[in-house]
Amino acid sequence: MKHIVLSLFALCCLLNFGGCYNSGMKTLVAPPVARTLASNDGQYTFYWVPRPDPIPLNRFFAIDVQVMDIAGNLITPEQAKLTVDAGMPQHGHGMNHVPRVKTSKDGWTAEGLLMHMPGDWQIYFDLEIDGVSYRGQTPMNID
Amino acid sequence: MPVTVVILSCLLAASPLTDTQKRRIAGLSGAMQGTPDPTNEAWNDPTAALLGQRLFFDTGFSLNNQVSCATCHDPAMGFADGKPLPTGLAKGSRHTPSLLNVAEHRWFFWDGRADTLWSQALHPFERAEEFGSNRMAVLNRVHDDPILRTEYETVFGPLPPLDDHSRFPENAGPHAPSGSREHDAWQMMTPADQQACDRAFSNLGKAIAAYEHRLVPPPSSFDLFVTAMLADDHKAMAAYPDDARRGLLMFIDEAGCRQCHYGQLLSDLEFHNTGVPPSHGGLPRDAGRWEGIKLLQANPFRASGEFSDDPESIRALSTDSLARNSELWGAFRTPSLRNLNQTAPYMHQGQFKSIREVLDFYNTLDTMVVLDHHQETVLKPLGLTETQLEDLESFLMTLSSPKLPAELGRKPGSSPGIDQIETVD
Amino acid sequence: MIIIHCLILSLTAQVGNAQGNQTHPAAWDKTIAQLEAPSGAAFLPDGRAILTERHRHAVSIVNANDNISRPWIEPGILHQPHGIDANEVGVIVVADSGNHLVRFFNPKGELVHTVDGHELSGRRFRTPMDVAISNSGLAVADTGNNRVVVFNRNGTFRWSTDEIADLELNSPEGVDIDESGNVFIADTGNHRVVIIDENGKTKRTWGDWGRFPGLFAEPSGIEHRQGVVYVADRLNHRVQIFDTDGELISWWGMHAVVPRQGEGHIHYPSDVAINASGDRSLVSEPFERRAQTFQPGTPSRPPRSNTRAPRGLQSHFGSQLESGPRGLVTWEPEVRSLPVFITDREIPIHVATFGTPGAGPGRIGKVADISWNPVDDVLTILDTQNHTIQNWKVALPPSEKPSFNLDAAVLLRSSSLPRIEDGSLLHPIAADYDDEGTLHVIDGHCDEIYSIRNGELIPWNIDFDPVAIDAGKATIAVADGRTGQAHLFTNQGQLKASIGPAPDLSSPNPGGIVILRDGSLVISDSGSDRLDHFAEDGRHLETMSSSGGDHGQIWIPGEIAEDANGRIIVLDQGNHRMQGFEPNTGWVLTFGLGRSMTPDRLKRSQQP
Repeated sequence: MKHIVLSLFALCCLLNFGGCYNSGMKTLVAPPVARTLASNDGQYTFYWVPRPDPIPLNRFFAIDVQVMDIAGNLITPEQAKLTVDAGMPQHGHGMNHVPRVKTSKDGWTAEGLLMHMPGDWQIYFDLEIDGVSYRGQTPMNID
Repeated sequence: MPVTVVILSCLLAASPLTDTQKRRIAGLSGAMQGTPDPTNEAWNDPTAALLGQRLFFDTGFSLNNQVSCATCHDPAMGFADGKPLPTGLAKGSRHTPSLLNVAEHRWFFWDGRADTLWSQALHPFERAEEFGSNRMAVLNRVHDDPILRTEYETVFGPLPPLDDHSRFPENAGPHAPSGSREHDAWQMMTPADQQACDRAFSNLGKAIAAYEHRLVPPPSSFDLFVTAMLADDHKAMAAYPDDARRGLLMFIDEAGCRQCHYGQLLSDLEFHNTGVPPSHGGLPRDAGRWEGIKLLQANPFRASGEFSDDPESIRALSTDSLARNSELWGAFRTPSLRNLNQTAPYMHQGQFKSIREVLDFYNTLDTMVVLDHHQETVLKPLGLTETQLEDLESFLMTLSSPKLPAELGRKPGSSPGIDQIETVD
Repeated sequence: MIIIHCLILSLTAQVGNAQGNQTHPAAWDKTIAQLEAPSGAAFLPDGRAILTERHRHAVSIVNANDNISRPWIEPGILHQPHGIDANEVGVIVVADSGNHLVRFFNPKGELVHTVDGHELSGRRFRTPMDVAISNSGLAVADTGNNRVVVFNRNGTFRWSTDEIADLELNSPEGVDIDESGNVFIADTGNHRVVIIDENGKTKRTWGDWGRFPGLFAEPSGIEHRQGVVYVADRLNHRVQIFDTDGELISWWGMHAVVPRQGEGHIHYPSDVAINASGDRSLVSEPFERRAQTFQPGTPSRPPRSNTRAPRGLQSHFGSQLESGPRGLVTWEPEVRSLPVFITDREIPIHVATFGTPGAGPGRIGKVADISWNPVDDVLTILDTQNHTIQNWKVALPPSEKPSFNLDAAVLLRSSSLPRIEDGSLLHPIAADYDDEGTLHVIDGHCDEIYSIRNGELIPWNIDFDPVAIDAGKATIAVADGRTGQAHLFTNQGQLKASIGPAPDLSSPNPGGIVILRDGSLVISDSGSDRLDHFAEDGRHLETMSSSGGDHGQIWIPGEIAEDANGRIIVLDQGNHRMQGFEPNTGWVLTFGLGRSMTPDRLKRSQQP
């Protein structure tokens, strides 16, 4: 599996990840272009790339996501459903838009995310497999 | 105010700006030339803008021939009306916002029930308390006026054959009261004819929007300060008043204003419920954005609708993906803080007569509407001193621009298709 | 009719008044106190008010002079009755929630008929919470089956909401039916009102979760009178008034921010009834053990209220409480979030709050119970509104350096509640992990306990009414809602012994149960505000509290837990706080989101 990730990385390096609201997922994502994030229970790893990067204040952005399980197997959209959301815990509110998640063969692209206030956000990735939803989350300061 | 605070404030104002401060300050300024609107292909068309300007000042579209857009959006008053609540044919329920820099907004009306400037411009024609007219009467007036018709057809092509009164009534519209002659007449029209008229009606909004795209005042003294800051021109920066500079630093940092007031308009362009007490007293009854989203998504003239010139645009996708959370109940659009010197009173019902009243509200939150003790709020009383409040107000006043060229603030001359600058008296 | 019309006009006029000078459209009249959890409210044809008393399992009549005539329907027939209605000839219908039945009584209060729903609608009722009767028929809010069922006057089945496409009710607790057969539903779990016409077609729905006028937080009672819809908006502590198009006309009630505050202040209204002439309204408030009468159409100034609560009363806790090795978690239904405290210190400290209201991943609907798994230190939340079981990890700060952290709790996993034998979703009302990490759950609609092992539901096949559960090392204690006893089981569900109730407890309503480390047991009683301590051998050792609002007194106690310091912590729900007790000592602690108090501090504060 390791060399699959490495080949993803090689592919990623060749790609332009600058994006806009409406562009679909260009290809697979992997570190170091992608950020990695373990699900809160450690069972899955989310590889994600925001477009544009860094995430802008009050402008739409997209996130490309791929997921691997703890054994290093790629989880595909055929096997699982992914939702992406964001919120400001200190303010008790989320985004003003519901992101749309598109699928490709090997991953997902969440479009239509917009962080409309500066401050501390959390981005949530919820992966549903066999009726169980697993969450990964990451803090994101927007200024 | 203690002397030490004064000294600290002075030192703060004079000390060099940090990179974070510079970035935040720069984010409050920038060129505003009317953001392109892909849903309106005519947004930058000079003839459309001229037509829009005629429509804007034309009282002939109202039921009593006395009300135009300019009645409430008075150029002499910063394209607002100076009153808490407007009066068209009847009294309105929300304060008139200024149209200066209006094209930079993402949503229109206090509740954002329009997602494009052209769609916004259509509402007043048929609202009983504004123009009180109907869709066919509006189109017929354009059709029957040689100047308006020529300019319209130059930009948008032929109007529907409104001369054929068997198909196109003189008075008809979908928003006329149910059971009225105008309402029934609209229902009798064929869907194709209705659609053709809706298209023409939407074009009038696009023309007005083209005019309103031009309502961009020159840079303010704050913008000049930012330009100097970015050029590292300390001499030019020194021209910026010390109290305004202190107010600016408070604005972007400890006062927390930047939470909602950032970007070139000093607005996040979105909606918040800040607990401003309603002018009628008691609890608020205006659902604001909560209802606004419902109205917007049901509006055929929305950015993703059939009359949009780009129903796949970001504006369109943005509308279609809106989350209607009940936390948006009573939320209103964050107003721009530019040109406040021309646009009093403030807030969605014009509750506050002066900027100082606004600052006093946020400073103490004494009159904030809190429904009960469970209500969590991001807002905390600022607790600023008198001098700090004065500094903040000084900063806000530096966001005011010189006035627009006079020719943009009056009815154009009588010749069709000629640049209005040459025709005004 | 003229009077009704005047009422509508006067209510409508109030909209104008409310805009100019806030008034309430109904003047407070009287308080009928010392009721025992009055839940359902109705008027008899002769104008007398009638109320179900859930904790007395009885029905009482309020006479014209506001004296309570009780018992009118004797305890012994009903169990935890909720909704009630009467038709024009005085036939009374009662939602006998605890027995999952609908009962009919004649005007003398004699039981004349009982239905369980199965014969008439093909499905047994599950915890029916409300009933309505008119000349057009009978409507039953079959809350546990998430449906409203309507029958003709002759008792034949007419329609059920689960047959209506695109209408999914969520625990509807209130229903009314008019003379034309239109049915008005308080769709409690969806925070909305639904109107369905006589043919079973949806006419209108309105509302959503929220606090502002026109929004709802668990609307629980509904009444329709001549074009005006009255809604008891429970968690917003008010009655809202709409026309049948869903346009808000006005509202009345002022949130009682201090417990026991009355005279027009409303606290957790359960039901609202309007008399035939439309000039008298009855609002039942089980939380305050009272009902209040109002005069709709008589505008009045709302009672004075400080909208910001006094410090120390900043939260309305639910009845749920769970203690872990170092921490304690409870639930605030009105903000849909869960506060976390660390308890391994003298004064517990609030260190985190988590949860966001709504549906979808990580959102919280209505927490039925919370349980800390001792095996993996994971917190399990059972959500009966979103029908989910969620596992959270809570990172507690060190007790010597406590700090508040909004990100302290993270969601690990979430899944749908499992289904029981008949295919319906498990409906937890209480749950607890045993020391081996098996979760034992009480299903409130089936009166059954299930153990969840390896994802499999294993029923216990019990024959009593379980209401509270605590799993200790080798013993699981379950409180019996009918007898007040504690039944002690092995981890495999075999009965070992039964303890209690306290000898002087007349009408048991257990709220919580805990097995202490020394093997003794404490049961809280939410009907009589008691904490009864029993030895392991079943002896009643002491009653540790009394009813009231002082330190050491409790009001509608909920769950109990033993904290890290061995204190017995009780959720003193009716006083919006938690309190700590110790055997043979009594009260040792009061705390919540604001101020805390210990006997020492209290003594110091009383010194001149």
